[in-house]
Amino acid sequence: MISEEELIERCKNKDQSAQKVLFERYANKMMAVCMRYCKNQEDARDLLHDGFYKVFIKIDSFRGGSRIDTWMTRLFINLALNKLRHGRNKYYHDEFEAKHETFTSSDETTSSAYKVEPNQVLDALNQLPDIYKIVLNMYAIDNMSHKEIAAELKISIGSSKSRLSRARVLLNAKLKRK
Amino acid sequence: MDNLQHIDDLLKKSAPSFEYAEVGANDWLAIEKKLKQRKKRIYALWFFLALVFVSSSILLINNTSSDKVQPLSVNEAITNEVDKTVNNAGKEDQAIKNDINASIDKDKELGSIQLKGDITINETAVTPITPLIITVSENEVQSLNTIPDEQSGLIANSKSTNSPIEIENAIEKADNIVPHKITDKDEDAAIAESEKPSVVLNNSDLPKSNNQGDGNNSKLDKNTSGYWELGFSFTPSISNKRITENSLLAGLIHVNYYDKAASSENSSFSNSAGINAQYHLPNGIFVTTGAFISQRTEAVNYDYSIDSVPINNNNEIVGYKPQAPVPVKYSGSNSYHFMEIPLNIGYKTPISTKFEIRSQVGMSYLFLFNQKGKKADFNDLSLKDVTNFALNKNNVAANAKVGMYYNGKHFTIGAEPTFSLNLNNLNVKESSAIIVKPYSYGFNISTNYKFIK
Repeated sequence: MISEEELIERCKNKDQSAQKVLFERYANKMMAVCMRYCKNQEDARDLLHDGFYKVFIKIDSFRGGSRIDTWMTRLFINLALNKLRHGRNKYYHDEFEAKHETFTSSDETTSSAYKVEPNQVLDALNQLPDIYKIVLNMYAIDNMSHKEIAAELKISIGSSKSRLSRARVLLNAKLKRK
Repeated sequence: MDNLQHIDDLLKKSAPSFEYAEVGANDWLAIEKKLKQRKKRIYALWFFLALVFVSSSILLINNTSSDKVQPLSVNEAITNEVDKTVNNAGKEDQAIKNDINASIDKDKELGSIQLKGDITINETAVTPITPLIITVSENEVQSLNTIPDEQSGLIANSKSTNSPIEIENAIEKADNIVPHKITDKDEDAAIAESEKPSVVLNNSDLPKSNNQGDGNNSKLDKNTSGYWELGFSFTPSISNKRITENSLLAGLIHVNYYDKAASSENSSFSNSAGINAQYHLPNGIFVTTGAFISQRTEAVNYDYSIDSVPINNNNEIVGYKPQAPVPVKYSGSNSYHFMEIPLNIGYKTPISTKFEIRSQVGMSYLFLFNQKGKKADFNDLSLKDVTNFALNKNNVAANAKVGMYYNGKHFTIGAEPTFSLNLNNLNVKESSAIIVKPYSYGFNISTNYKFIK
C-alpha cells in the first residue's frame, strides 16, 4: 500500500492514478463532512465533487503540518460555507420554528434523558437553521474554536458563542421529541 | 458553558456512525471530468494570452516604427536636407562642381532620378539641381499628391489622390544652393536606384498615427501635439451588488433575512449619461473625465410574512417573539442616483485608418444625491423607505472600458463594454449589518468632437 507522503507527492505531480487512490481513501470521510454541511444528498454530492476538485488543485499548498484529512476537512468546510454564502437560494432552508427560540428555562436545564440513534441525530442536526447547524458542526464535531469559527463566518466571537448556545437548545428540543 | 454539553458529546459520538450516501465510481468520473475540463481551460487561456501578446506586439511595433519617422514633415525633411547641403556648400571647390556636372549629365541620360520615398524628379526639373534626398515616412508619401509640373517639376509617384502639399518653398531654396560633393559611391547608388522600376506605395490601408483622424486631412495628419475631444456619453447597464456581512453587527441579521428578503432583491436595468471630455496625447495615451448622472438600481419582489419579532440585546438577536403573521408584498425598483466624475487613463490602438481600440481604467467619484424605493430591514424584515437607510453620500468606484471607436476627421463615435464597481460600502458601516457594494456592467456609447489646433 502506497504511503500517505508518497501519495501526496504524486498528487502534487498531477498523477491521475494517485488522485484516484486519494479519492478512494478519503471519499467516505469527506462525504460525511458534506452531509453535515448540506441539507440533502444531492447538494452533498455536488460539494464532494467540488471539494475533491479543489483538493487536487490546491494540494501544492499542503505543507504537511497536519494530517491530510484534517486539511481536506477544513477545505471542504470553507467550500461549503462559500456555497452557502453565494448560493443561498440554491439551498433549501427549513421554515424557522420560532417556538424553539422562545425557550424556557426547562429547555436549558434538562439533561439527556433520551436515547437516540446516530441517524436521528443527523436528521435533527439537518433540521436546524443553517446559522446554528454550521456553528454546532464546526465546534462540536470539527473541533474548531470560537475564534476560528468567528473568522470563518466573519462574525464576532460573541455571535459564535451565542449561536452555539442556541443550536444546542434547538437540537436538544428536537431530540427530546424523537 | 450551559449544561447542554452532552449535545456536543452526543454529536461527537454519533458522527462516525452517520449513514451516508455511498460514494461510487460515478463520483470519481465526475471529478476526473472536472479536472480534464480545467486542463482544457488552462490551454485555452494560455493560447488566448499568447494571441493577445503577439497581436499587441505587432501593433506596438507598427506604431513605434511609424511614430519614429512621422514627426518629420515633408517640408521639414526637405529643409533639413537643404540646410545640410547649404552648410557643406562653402567647402566645395570648382573641381567638385565639375564632378557634379558630370553626374548630372549621367542622370540626364538615364532620364530620371529616384528619390528616397519613391518620389521621382523629371529630367527637366532636375537640370539645375543636384539629386535631392528627401526622407519621408510612408504615411507622408501617402499624402503627397501629383504636384503640377509648372510649380516645381516634382512629381510624387504615388497613386494617391490626396490633396497637394506645399513644397515650393523648399524647391526655391534648393534652386539657390550650391551642391555638395557627390562621391562615386553616391552616384552609383543614384544610378542603381534610377534603374529600378518606380515603386508605387499604396498606403491607404496602413494605420495612421495614434492621434490622427481621417487620412484625407493633412492638417490632422501633421498634428503632433495633444488635443481635446468633447462629447456625450450614454451607458445603458445592468446594476447588481455584492453583499457581505458587517462582522460587528452580524448578530442582528434576522435568521430569515437571506431566504425571505435578500433572495428577492435582484439586478436591474440602469443607466448613466453625461458629458465626456478626453485629452489625447500624441503617443496614444489619453485621459478622460466628465460629469455624469449615474443610476444604480435593484429590483425587489418581496412576498413573505413576518411571524416573529427579533429580541435584540447588545448587537445580538437573542431570541424571537412569535407574532401573528404580517404579510409583506411589494414589487418595485429601488434607485440610487449619483453625480459621477470619472478620471480614467487610457490607451488607443489603431486597427485601420478609421477604427481604433480604446482601453481605459480609472476611478470615479460618486456623490449620492437621491435614493428612491422600499427595502426590507435586515433585522426585523419590515419594509422601509430607502431614505431611512443610512447611506454614504461620497463614494468611489473603479472603472474599466474597452471598446471600438470610429475615428473620423472631426468626430469619434465609440461603443465599449464597461464595468464599474463601488470600492466603498454604500451603507454606513456603523449602522448596517449588511454591507452593499453596487456594481454595474453595460455598454457605453460615446460621440465626441475633436478640438484640434
